[in-house]
Amino acid sequence: MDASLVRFLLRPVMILVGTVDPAARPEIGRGVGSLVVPEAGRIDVLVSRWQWPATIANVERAGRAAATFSRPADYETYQIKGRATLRAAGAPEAETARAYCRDTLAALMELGMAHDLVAHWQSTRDLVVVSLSVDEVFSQTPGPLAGQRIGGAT
Amino acid sequence: MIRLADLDDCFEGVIPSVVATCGADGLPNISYLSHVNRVDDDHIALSNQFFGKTAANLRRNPCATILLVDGRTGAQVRVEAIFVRSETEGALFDRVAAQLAASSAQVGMEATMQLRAVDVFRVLSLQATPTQAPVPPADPDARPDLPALAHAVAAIDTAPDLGGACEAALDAAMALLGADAAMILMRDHPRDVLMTVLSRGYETGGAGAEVPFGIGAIGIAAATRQVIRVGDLGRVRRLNTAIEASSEQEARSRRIRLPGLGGALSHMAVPLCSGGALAGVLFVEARRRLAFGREPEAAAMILARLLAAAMRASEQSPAPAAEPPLPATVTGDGGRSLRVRHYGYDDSLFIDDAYIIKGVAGRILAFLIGSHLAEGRDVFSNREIRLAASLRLPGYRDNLETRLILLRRRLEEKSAPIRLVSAGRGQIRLVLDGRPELVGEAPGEGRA
Repeated sequence: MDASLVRFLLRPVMILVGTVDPAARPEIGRGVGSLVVPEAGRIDVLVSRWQWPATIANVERAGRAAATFSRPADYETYQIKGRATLRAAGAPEAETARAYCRDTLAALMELGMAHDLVAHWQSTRDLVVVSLSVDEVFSQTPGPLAGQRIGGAT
Repeated sequence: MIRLADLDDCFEGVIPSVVATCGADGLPNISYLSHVNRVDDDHIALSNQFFGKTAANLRRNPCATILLVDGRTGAQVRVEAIFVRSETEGALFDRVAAQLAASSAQVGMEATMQLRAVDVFRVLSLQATPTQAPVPPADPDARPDLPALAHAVAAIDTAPDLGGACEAALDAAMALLGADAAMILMRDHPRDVLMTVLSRGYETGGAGAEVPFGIGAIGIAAATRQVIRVGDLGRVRRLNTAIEASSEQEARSRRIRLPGLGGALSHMAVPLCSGGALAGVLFVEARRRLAFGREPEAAAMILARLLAAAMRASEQSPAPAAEPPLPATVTGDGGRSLRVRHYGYDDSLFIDDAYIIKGVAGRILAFLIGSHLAEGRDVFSNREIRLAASLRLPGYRDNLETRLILLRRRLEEKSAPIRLVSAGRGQIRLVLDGRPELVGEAPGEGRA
């Protein structure tokens, strides 16, 4: 993970989590905050199990996930793929999620989004941590370089 | 049970949707989507600009999950779908390409957002995502009501002349479609340019303002013959909004500013097509988000087709069989002189140094003033105007009635000392608040 990617991930970016069930059917969930652990090559994504139960079930079963991080102002987007494990969220993670929701709400409202719209995408009920190893990093910013691999451990 | 037909606000392209697929390696892939379109009750189509991994995955494993977001409420719907086929041409492709071009231009990404294919999916299930958001107040019914539409159609159809039909169409745009401002633009044959004819709800009328084909929602609607809707203009301001109009600027540039609605969040450009020919564009704007959904679009298409047919009919209707003799009227008070300059190279016309109009409309006005000076009359038949105008520009398609409405409105908006008024069916009267002096190139000179 290069330093500029780590800096990008610390900003208020929209987070999506992709998983696959045993029948190879894909699933989508949203993240409400992340904690980057560069020295471990890992990013911990916070997800509401209440809002995205299928996503969490897939992580438990398959142990793999993809996550995208996208800045709403200019669509700069990265996708990280790797092995995923699950753990319960504690008080520090809950605080991270609260700060994330506050900061992304501010960023989205600056772009003209109403508070009530954003509320649909930000549940923190039954929060869990999807711990994702950064095996592959792809650029997904719209344009000719979209989909290109730009980093990762494997 | 949720039906696709109930999810119109998810297909406005306001908030990006998401698609997830599964690769051959069993790894998930997620990608944002700029546009999802409803094809019918069981199918949706995704615009494919460059999502290579998604496309590659679908060819191996056609299962996809799509997360739709309601542009009005923010509510999310999970769609379980199967990839069916990819289309690179046809009506659906053209519709999506035009819409994509318009919305990409809004955010300055037209170069990166070229449509490559439209991927069609069969929907297996629709499911609302759990939410902690407050329940929004019930949405007022945004559907235009059919009796009002029938009334508007009748008003356009029975208008005494084309000007009345245009006014009736603008009435309907404001009342029936709920627009805060509306304008009708005509195609200026043979150029690929539209000119504003009549408008409502703007601070300036803008008659004679030009929009080139392919530029902005109006230009893209004309070039592609597709309805262009943008439901959330957001921070993106209309190009012209900030530029203040002034007479000095007009006289220098010979360009009339296109009117724009301050604070507009939605707009829709509807091509005026009849019998396969494009006559112009109906443009509506509103200060609220998502003002023009599928139902208002359908109503606008009905109004637009009717108005286009009226424009076409006005060109084909024969002149009155026995024209009344044209009275030679004593005109003007012989008072102050009106300095009229007409430049043959672009047919621009100035009255007392104020820019009025250029092109065919300028030539028509110069012809009327020249004829008045030569023959001392002030009433002219549309037929003789048509003949005079077309003689000096072979190959141009008439639209004479519409051009006269435009010219008449432009003179009113400029409070010009020379005006046009109706003098009965197929005739027009030149009203002069002084004695015109035609200087520069005379209307008979210049192009042969």
